[in-house]
Amino acid sequence: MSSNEDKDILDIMHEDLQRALQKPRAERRWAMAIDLKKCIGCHACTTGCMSENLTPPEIHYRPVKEEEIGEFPNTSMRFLPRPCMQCDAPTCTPVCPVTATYKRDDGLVVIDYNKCIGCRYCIVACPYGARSADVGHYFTGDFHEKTYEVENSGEYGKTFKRKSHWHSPIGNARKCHFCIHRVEKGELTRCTTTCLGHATYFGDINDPQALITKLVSKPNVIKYKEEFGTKPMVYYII
Amino acid sequence: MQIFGVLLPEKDRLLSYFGQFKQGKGGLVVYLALLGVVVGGFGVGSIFFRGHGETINTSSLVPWGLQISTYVYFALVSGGCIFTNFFGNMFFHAKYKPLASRVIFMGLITAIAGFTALASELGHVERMYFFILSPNPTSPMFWMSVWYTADITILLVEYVNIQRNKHSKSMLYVSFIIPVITYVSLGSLFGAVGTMPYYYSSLLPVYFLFTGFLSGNALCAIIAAYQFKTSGGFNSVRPFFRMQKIALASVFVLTFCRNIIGIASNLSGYVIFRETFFVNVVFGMGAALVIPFIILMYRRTLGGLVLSSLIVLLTQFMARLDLVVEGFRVPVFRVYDMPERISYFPSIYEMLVVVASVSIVAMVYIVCEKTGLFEIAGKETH
Amino acid sequence: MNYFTSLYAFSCVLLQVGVHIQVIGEVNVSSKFSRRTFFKVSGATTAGLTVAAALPKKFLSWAEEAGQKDMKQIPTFCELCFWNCGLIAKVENNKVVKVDGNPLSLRGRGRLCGRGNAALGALYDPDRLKYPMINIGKRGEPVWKRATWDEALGVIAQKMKDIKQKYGPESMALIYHGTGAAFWKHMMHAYGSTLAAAPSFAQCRGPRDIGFVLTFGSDVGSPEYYDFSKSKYIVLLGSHLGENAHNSQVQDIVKGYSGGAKLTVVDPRLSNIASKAERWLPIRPATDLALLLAWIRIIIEEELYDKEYVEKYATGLNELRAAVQQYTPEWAEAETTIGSDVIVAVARELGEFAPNVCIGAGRYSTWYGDDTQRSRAIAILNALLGTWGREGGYFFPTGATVPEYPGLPAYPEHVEVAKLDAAYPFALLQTTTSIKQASISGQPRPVKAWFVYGSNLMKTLPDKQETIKAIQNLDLMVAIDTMPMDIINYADVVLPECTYMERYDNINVGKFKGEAEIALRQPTVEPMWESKPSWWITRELGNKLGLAEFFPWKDGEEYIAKRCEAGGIDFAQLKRDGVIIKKGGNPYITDENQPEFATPSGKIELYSKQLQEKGFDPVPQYTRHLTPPAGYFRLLFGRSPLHTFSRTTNNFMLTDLQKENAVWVNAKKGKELGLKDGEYVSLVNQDGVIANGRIKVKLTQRLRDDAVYMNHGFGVHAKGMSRANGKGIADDDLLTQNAIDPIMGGTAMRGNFVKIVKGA
Ligand SMILES: Nc1nc2c(c(=O)[nH]1)N[C@H]1C(S)=C(S)[C@@H](COP(=O)(O)OP(=O)(O)OC[C@H]3O[C@@H](n4cnc5c(=O)[nH]c(N)nc54)[C@H](O)[C@@H]3O)O[C@H]1N2
Ligand SMILES: Nc1nc2c(c(=O)[nH]1)N[C@H]1C(S)=C(S)[C@@H](COP(=O)(O)OP(=O)(O)OC[C@H]3O[C@@H](n4cnc5c(=O)[nH]c(N)nc54)[C@H](O)[C@@H]3O)O[C@H]1N2
Ligand code: SF4
Ligand code: SF4
Ligand code: SF4
Ligand code: SF4
Ligand code: SF4
Ligand SMILES: [Mo]
Repeated sequence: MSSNEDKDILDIMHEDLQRALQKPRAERRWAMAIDLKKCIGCHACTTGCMSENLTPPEIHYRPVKEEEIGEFPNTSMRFLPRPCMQCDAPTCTPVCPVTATYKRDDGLVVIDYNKCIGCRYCIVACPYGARSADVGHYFTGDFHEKTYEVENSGEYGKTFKRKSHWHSPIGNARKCHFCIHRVEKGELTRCTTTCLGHATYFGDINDPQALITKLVSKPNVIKYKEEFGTKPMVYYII
Repeated sequence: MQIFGVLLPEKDRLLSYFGQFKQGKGGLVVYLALLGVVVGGFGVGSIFFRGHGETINTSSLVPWGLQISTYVYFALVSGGCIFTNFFGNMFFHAKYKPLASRVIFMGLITAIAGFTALASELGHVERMYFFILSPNPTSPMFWMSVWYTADITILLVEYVNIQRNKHSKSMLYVSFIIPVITYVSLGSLFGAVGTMPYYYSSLLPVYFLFTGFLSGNALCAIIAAYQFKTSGGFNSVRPFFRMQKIALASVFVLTFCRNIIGIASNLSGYVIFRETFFVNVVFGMGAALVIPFIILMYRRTLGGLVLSSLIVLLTQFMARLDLVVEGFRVPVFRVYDMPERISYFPSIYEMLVVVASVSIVAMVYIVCEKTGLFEIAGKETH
Repeated sequence: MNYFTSLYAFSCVLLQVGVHIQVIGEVNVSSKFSRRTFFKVSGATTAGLTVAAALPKKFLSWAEEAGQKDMKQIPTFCELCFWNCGLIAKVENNKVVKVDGNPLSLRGRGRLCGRGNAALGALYDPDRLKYPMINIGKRGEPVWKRATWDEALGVIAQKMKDIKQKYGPESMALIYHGTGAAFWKHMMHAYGSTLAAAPSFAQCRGPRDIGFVLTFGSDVGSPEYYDFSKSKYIVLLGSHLGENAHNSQVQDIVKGYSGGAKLTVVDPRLSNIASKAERWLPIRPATDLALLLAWIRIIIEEELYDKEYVEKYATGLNELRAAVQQYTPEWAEAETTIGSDVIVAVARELGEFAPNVCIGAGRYSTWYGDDTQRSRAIAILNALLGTWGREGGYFFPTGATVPEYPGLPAYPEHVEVAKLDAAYPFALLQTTTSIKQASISGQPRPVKAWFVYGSNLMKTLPDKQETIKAIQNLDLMVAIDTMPMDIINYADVVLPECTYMERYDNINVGKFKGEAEIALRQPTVEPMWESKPSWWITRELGNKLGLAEFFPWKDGEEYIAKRCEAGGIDFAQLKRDGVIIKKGGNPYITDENQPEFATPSGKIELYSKQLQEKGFDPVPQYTRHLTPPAGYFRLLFGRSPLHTFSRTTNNFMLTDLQKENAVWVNAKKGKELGLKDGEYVSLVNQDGVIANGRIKVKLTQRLRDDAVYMNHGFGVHAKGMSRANGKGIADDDLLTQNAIDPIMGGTAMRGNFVKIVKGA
C-alpha cells in the first residue's frame, strides 16, 4: 500500500475504472464498499446523487441513516448510507411483470424507463427500500419548466427529460444505478467522488488488482440484510 | 355472434329504456349511478391526463393505495361471484339456477370495474402491451394478468352459455378452477413478497380466496334478495344464508390466523400486527365478521340478509384498503424527516376512482336488469 | 356447522405452516449486523488506507477526456457557506443541469458537501428576490412597492447624500458576509466610510482569532491551518466536524483518524465527530476552560511539554506555572464532570504524541463571554506541546495575492472619528456589537444607515429586540440579499442580488499547506429575473453618487481580467480551470524555516503582558458561569450538515431532507418530563421570552441532561420564504442574555436557559 499512500483514493479508483472498461462488459462486476468507520454522516453523497440524477422531491437514491447505539454516556453512532445494493440475487427483478427491471450481464440491476409500466411491485419487493416511485412531483411547482427539473438527467446513458407525466422517468420506478452513465464514460459514481469521508469505494471486483477487491476481501466486511438472500454487491466495512 | 339479446339486452328494450330514461323515468339509482360514472370518470380522466403527481397521494413510501385496494376488492368480488355460482350450482342447483346469469354477469362487470381502478394506478398504462412483448414468468403479477385475462374470457364464455341456455357442467368446473387459480395468484402477488411482513404469508392466497368468496357472495345475496323481493321466492334466497355464514366463519378463522402469526412474530416489520391488533380484532373481526354472522343467525329474513351483506361489502372494502396500506406503515428504511409510522390518506381523485368503479357496476347492472337482460336465459327454458 | 369445523381444521394446518415460515425468517436475521457485532468488529480493526490531498489533473472529471461531453462545463465556486469550494456547473439549454466538485480546488478537492451539491436549490428557488423593492410601509411591517433599479438606487443615493451632509460619511455602516462584500466595501470607502463589520468576527471566530493573535501573533486562518491529516493526536472542543461540513477540513480530519490518529472530542453532545473518537468527554457546558487549565497544569507539572521548543520560542512559562497551580485534575473534575483520571490520561497522551498533536481551536467561539481566554488556553496548550509549525499540529500556510483593479483613484481622506470599539481593546476587526450600540445610543457617535449585505441579521445577532431597536433608529436601511429573509422586512430598500451561480465576483484567495489557490467565480447562466451582481449594483449606485471614477470597469469579467493581468495571472486559464494553484512555502519549522511571532515580545506569549496592561488576566483564569436554574436547560446549538444557518432553509433540495430543526433532549430526562419523540413543544427562556413557533422533540442518547441542543438557522419568520417560514424554532429567539467578551467585543450566545413547554 505504501506506493499508494500519497495518492487520493479517487485517483486510484479512477485508474481501476479505466482498466475495467477495457474488458468486455460481461466480465466486469461493479461493486461498492462503504467504510462505516470513516463515514462522518455529512450526507454529501445523498445530495450529490440528487444533483447527479435530477431526482424529484422525496426520491433519494442514497439516503444516510443515522442510528444511535448505546445509552448515554456510552453512546455511539452509526451512519449508514444506502445506495441500491445491486443485488446478485435481487428480489426486485423477479417480480417485474414486464421485465423492465433486470440484472445485466455485468451484474448491474437496471430499470428500462421506456418499458416500465409503473406498477410499483418492485418497490414493494425490495427489502432495502431502495426503490422509489416517480409520481411526477417538481420541487419548483409551476415554475418547473424554467428550471433544470425538465432537463436531461442522462441516466443509463440515455435521454430522459421529465417534461410531463407522459415522459419517463415520471410514472416509473427509480433507484440508484451505480451512476452507470458516468461509469461507462470513465467517471466514478457521484457519491464516490463527493464523499467527504473518503468512505465510498467503487470498482470492478472481478479485477484482483482493484482497490475495492482488496478492501472487500478482508474480514471486517459485512453486507446488509443478507437474510433476504439478496447477495448485495454493496459491502460495508466496519 | 349475437350481441343484442345475448351479451346485451334486446335492442328495442334498450331503446325504450333510453326513452324512459330521457323522460326522467329511468329510476333514481340509475341517475345516481350515472352521476357517479360521470364524476368518477372525471376523476379517472384527471389522473390519466394530469398525472399522478397532481392527483394521487401514493408515493415511494406508500406505493400502493386506494386504487390498488379497490382493484383487489373488485377482483375478489368478481371471484366471489364465481364461487357463489359454483357452490350455488353444486349444492343448491334448482334454487340457485334463476340467479346464475346475474351472478356471472356481476362477476364480469366487477372484474372490469376492478381493472379500471388498476389502470388508473399504473404509471404508464399505455405500455401494458409489454405484458405480451416482454413477459416475465417469474412475476406473480405477470401470472396474475394471464389468469385474469383467462378468467374474464371464461366468464364471458360461461355467461354467453348461460344466456343461450347451453350451460354445461364441464364449463362450470372450468369457470371455477380458473378463477381459483387467478385469485390464488392475486393472493400470492402479495403473499410472496418476502420483504413485506404484513403481506408475506402462505396464508394469503387462501385468505384471498375466502375473503373473495365472502364479498362476492354478499353482493350476490343482495341481488338475490332484490330479485326475490319482487318475485317472492324466498326459498331461492336460503342458500345465501348458509353460504354467507360459511364464508364469514372461514374468513374469521383466516383473519385470526394472520393476526396471531403476526403478533407472535418478532421480526422488525411485524410490529404493525401488534399495533393494529386491537383495531383488527374489534373492527376487522368483530364489526366486519362477527356482527354480520350474528345478524344472519338471529334475523333470518330478507332484511337481515341484506343488512348483513351490506356490512360485509363495506367492511371488506375497508379490509382490502387496510391490507394494502398497512403493509407500508413501518418504513423500510427510516431516514431524515420520515415519521416513525407512515400515514396515508387517499386523495379526492383516488376516491373518485372508487366512485367510478362502484357506479359502473351499479349502472350497468341495473340497466341490464331493467331491460330484461337476465330474463333472456330464463325465457328459453320456460 | 360441519363446514365450519372442517374449515377450522384446515386453517389450523395453515397456521402451522405460517408459523414455520416466520421462524425460518427469524433464524436468518442474526446475520444482519447487530449492535454487538458492530462494536466488536469496529473495535478490532483499523483503517487500511492513508490518503493524501493532491489530485492529479488527469482526474478532472469535467475535462475533455471524460464526462458528459454534450454539456458545457463551467467552473466557479460555492457560496452556500464561506468555505467557497470549487464547483463545476454543467450547463445545457441555458440552464445549469448538474453540479460537480472541481478536483483542482484545494477547498473541496473535487468534493462538494451536503449543501454544496444543492446549488440548484438556491439558483432555481422560485421564492428568490426578483426585483428591487421599496418599503412604503413601516420597518418590521413592510408594504412593498416594486421598483426599477434606477428608482431604487436613486432613493438610496439621495438618502446617502443627505446623511453624509448631516452626520458625515462615517455614520454609514456596512454589515456584510460573503464574497460580494468586497464591492460594497469599495463603494463605502469611495463614499467616505470605513465602518464595516462582519458577523463572522463578533458572532463567530473573533475570540478564537484574538486568543491566538495574543499568543502567537497570528490567527489560525480560514480555512484553518490545522494539519489534521498528519496528526497523531487530535483534540476538539466543540468543533463538530461532519456536521460543521467545512469541506477539506472534514476530509483532513477523517484522513487523520482513519490513518491512525487518536481523537479526543470534548462536547456535551456526542457530535458526529465525537462518535468517531477514541475518547468522548461529555463535558458540563461552559466549563472547557477548567479542563484546559487542568491540562496545562498537568503538562507543566509532569514536564510533558516540549522543553526545547518552549525555551526557544516562548516566554512566560514561570508565570504560567504559578497561575495554574490551583487547577488540579480533581478540581477540574468537580467543574467539568469529567473524571480526573481521564483528564490526566489525555494530558499524558498529549505529551506522548507531541508535537504531532493538534488541539483544534475550533471556529465558532462566541460561547460564554470569556472566550478569548479559552482560546488563549488552547493556544498556550498548543505552544507547550510545540504544535505550532509542526507536522500534525498547525502548519504555516502558503499565501498568494491578487492586486486591486489598477488605476483606481485614491479613496477620500479618512476623517478621524471616534472609534466605535474603544470599549474592547482587542477588537482587531470592527464589531457588529458596537455598531448596534452606536445606532441605538448615538454614542460615541451616531450611526444612521446600514447596508446589510448577505447577512440575515435578525437571526445572526443575539438579542433581536435590541437589533430591531437599532434599526428603527436609522435613517436608511438597505438589504442586499438573494432571498426574502427575515432581514428584508426591516429594510427601506431591498436590492436583489443574483446568486453565486450567475455572477462574476471578487477573486478568492485561499491559503493552504504548501500551496495557495486563486479561485474565480463566474456566471454559469444569465441572472434570473431582474437580479444583478454586486459589481453592477455598486457601480450604478456609485454613478448616482457621483463616484463614477471609482467604478471604471465595463463588466465583471473585465474587472477580474484586469486584476489578473496586473498580477501576472493567466485569466484564460483561470476561466477554464476555475482555480490556479501556487505552490511553495515550507509548512513546518526547520532549521532554515524559523517562525516569527508578531507579538510585542516577538515570542509566543504564554503570559500576556498586553492583556495585563489592559486589565485582563495575563494567564487565563477560571470563573464559574451560571448553571441552569431548576427546570431549565442550557440552550446549545450547532450546525446541521444539510443547512447553512438560515441561508439554505428555503433550498428545496435541502428542505426535502431536513425541513425543520428539532430540540434534542436527553432521552432519560425527556421521559421523566413526559416528552415523546417527535412531539411538538414550545420553548421559553429564563427571561420569559417565548420562542416564536413550535419545535419537534428529539429524544436522544447523545446529549447530557443539563442542556438541550438544536440546529441554528431555522425558525425563519418571513412570508416570502414558502418552505422555511415558520418551520422549527430559532435559537436566536431565545438569546436575551449575551455576555460580551470584554477583550474583543464578541457576543456570547450559550448563556441562555430554556424550559420546555408541552402542548404546542
Ligand atoms: N453544515 C454546516 N457547516 C458549517 C456551517 C453551517 O452553517 N452548516 N457554518 C460554518 C461556520 S460559519 C462556522 S463558524 C462553523 C461552526 O462550527 P463549529 O466551529 O464546529 O461550532 P462549535 O460551536 O464549536 O461546535 C458546536 C458543538 O459544540 C458543542 N458545545 C456546545 N456547548 C459547548 C461547550 O460548552 N463546550 C464544548 N466543548 N462544546 C460545546 C455542541 O454540542 C456542538 O456539538 O461551522 C461551519 N460549518
Ligand atoms: N443564534 C445564533 N447566532 C449565530 C450563530 C449561531 O450558531 N447561533 N452563528 C454565528 C456564526 S458562526 C456566523 S458565521 C453568523 C452567520 O451569519 P449570516 O451570514 O448572517 O447567516 P445566514 O443565515 O447564512 O445569512 C446569510 C444571508 O445572506 C443571504 N445570501 C445568501 N447568498 C447571498 C448572496 O450571494 N448575495 C447576497 N447579497 N446575499 C446572500 C441569505 O439569503 C441570508 O439572508 O451567524 C452567527 N450568529
Ligand atoms: S437493493 Fe433492492 S432494488 Fe437494489 S437490486 Fe437489491 S432488491 Fe433490487
Ligand atoms: S414498477 Fe416498473 S420496474 Fe417495477 S415492477 Fe413495475 S414495471 Fe417493473
Ligand atoms: S452510485 Fe450514483 S446513483 Fe447510486 S447512489 Fe451513488 S450517486 Fe446515486
Ligand atoms: S458522503 Fe461519505 S462521509 Fe458523507 S455521509 Fe456519504 S458516505 Fe458518509
Ligand atoms: S463546504 Fe459545502 S457549502 Fe461550503 S463552500 Fe464547500 S461545498 Fe459549498
Ligand atoms: Mo461562523
